[in-house]
Amino acid sequence: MANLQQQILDLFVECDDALREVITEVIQFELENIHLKEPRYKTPIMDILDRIARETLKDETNEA
Amino acid sequence: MSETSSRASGRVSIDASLHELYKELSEGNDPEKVPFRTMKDVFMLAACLGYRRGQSRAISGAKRQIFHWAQFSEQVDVPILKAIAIAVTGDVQILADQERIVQIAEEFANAGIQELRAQVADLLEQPLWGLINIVR
Amino acid sequence: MKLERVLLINFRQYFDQQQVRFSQDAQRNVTVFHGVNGAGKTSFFAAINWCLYGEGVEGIGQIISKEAVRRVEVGEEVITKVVVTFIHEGQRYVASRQLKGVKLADGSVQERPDIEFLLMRTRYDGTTSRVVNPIGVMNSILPVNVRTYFLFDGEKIDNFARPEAAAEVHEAVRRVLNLGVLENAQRHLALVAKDLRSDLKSLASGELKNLVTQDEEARQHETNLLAEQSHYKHEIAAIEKHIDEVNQKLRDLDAVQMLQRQHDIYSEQLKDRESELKGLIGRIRDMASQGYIAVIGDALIKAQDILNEKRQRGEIPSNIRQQFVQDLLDRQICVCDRPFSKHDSAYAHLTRLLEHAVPSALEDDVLATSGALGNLRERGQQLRQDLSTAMAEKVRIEEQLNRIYAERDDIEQQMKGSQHGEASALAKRRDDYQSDLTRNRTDQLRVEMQLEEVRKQIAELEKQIAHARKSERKELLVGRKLDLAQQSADYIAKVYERFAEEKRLQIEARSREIFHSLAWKGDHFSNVRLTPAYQLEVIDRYGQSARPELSAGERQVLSLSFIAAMATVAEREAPLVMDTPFGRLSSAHREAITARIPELASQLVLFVTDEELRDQALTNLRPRIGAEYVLHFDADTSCTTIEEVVA
Repeated sequence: MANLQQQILDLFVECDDALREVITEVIQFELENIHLKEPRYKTPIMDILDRIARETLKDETNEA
Repeated sequence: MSETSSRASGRVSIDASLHELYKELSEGNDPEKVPFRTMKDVFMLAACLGYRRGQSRAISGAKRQIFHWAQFSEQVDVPILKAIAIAVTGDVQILADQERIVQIAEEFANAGIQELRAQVADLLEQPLWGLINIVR
Repeated sequence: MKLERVLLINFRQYFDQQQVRFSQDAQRNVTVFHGVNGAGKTSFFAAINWCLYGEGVEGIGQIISKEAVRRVEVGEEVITKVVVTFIHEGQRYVASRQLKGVKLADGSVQERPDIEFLLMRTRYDGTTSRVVNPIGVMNSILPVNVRTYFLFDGEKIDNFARPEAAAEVHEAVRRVLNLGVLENAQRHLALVAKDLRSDLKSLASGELKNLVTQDEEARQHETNLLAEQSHYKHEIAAIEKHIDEVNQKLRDLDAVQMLQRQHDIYSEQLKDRESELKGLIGRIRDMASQGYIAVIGDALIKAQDILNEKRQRGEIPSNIRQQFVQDLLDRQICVCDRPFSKHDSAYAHLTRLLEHAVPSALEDDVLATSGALGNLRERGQQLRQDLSTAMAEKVRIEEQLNRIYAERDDIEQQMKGSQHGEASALAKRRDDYQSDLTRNRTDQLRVEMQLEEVRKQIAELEKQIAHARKSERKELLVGRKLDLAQQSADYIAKVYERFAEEKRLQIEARSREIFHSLAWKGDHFSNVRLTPAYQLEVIDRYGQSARPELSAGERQVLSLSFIAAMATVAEREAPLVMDTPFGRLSSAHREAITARIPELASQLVLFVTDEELRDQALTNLRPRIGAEYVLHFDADTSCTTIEEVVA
């Protein structure tokens, strides 16, 4: 059995690439802040979304 | 991608508007509500029903490439689709023509799915028991 | 994580510098610290927690060694430091936490506010590099909110086995298995999506704005329904607990004991039958899903006939024959050596043969297909038979269920009509609870249907929104972020339930295994359960929860089994560090546990008194002890020195 972290990441293997990237990075963030009761999640998550959203939009205009 | 070349590369399509129905019949955990284990099984039954009724229909609207030939099992699904193709054309040579086999299956499934919808999905009682009726 | 060394400098009663090496051996994986109560076990234990997490020192008083303070001049500094070296996934880390204090005129010490914490990675060549995000890295090794399950106090060890502990058990599973991480990820992403949605709304206009508003409302409705769903879930769990309690009370009443026992038997039978039915329906579904094999029988027959006909007509020649026939045609000589011309019937026949001949590569396919078709026809027929049998079985089980329900109902009526006042009252109360249960279940079902409806609505709206968005370019980025956020949240939600359930069952199975291996042979428990409501239960041979009768020792063993099971399922390598774990066990339990406890973790560290570890228990543990220390407490100086026991 793969270690727990691997098991959790495996849950998202069938996902869209972009979604998987978002989920993996958000999980990493949550893991590192699990000791906080109310972590400041909004900015870090928005940053992740912003970066990946821009990448996918760029890929799409490149493909077109 | 042209139709023949997509079929040649092993992709099997359904009418895009039917995708929801396929999902409804195969996604979920409750066996009484979700009578099919996979979407491929839905397709196989639809194709068989279409053949049984002698009804086939070309896909008229947008298509959705939803399966790959590799998803069909060598022991069960592939021989069945071949049998349908042989039975319909009377031509043994069709065994070499994967594209035609796929096309025939797609068109029977496109017609047969309506019977599935009526007898399984739209039933008042749980879909599984509607399916049992068809199979028995 | 595996502990390697601990260095204590002026930490509480550990004056000056003292070092301990933990056993790294796989077989002799137990490190034992002997000490009487008050010798310093608790402090040592606290030192490890303090170093790694900065916690565990609340309420134990001053951590700077009093002896060290005594020995310096006023105004001089005392340094308290704990260094823990540990190995995790092949990497060696050094954690070091340090506190400074200044001696005041009255002899006390003023602690400096800044506490220095360093986490370093070291390589085998001795070079070290500092870990930039020490808390983040510690959290991925052994999160602070998980450590309490591995580095724990013997007194707390039976917490999980208490009846009221369901919330704690659930919390433990959530933490150890990182379910909390998934939950937070899903929740935060959904909240961010909500914000993005209103951003989108303010950017949009007309139809799009309208759709987004509807979407927001639908999602709010969904959230409300989810809250309702959760409410019913809790109500139902509470009522089921009440019913359990009533049943327990009835069991203890002589007047209705026999009836209650029969009631319990029926309840057990119902559970069994229902689970049988569930399994059967699953199997029926699997068969029906393949039902097309039976439906296509006609085509199989027809195709097989066609293939056979072709074979008999010789239109499926072998490789050699095809070439042979071609040769004959070229040379215009028949098989019997008679020449023929282009106009002969022989020529026509051979030509037709060749034209209708199937290419040789196909022949294998034909043979294979023909064979397969025969098998499939049989299989289809078998499937129909199996389905019929299964359906008949289903009917049989359903009839059984109805019958058992009726008989149990009958008993309930009898109990309600009992002459014994208390029994009758309890039975009536049980009846009321059952009605409450039915009512709540109905409401729960209603909410679930509404949820399905609203989710369909949302899906439909999302489609329309996507369509409308195509024409509005300015919020392309916002829209994309919204999609990513919402879809990620949805995906996590989708996999979460299944994952959590899978883990619960795995923990249950492992707990059972470990409990059986640790339990004293005199115990007669047939099963350990971790219910969907996260209650940890031991089931006796009557199928009842045995928790009320568990002794302190058995509860401890149950808790320990649960913790070890969690660690295994979570694939968390963590040392089990236990402070006086055997104190409240009977000697029979101690002997049983010590025989097996080293198997529970890759590294075991025990702080024990001589009282709790001796005789057979010590003999059991001896072969597994890889390092041993004694904590000597000097009453005059109030200091503890650590002495290694060399074998």
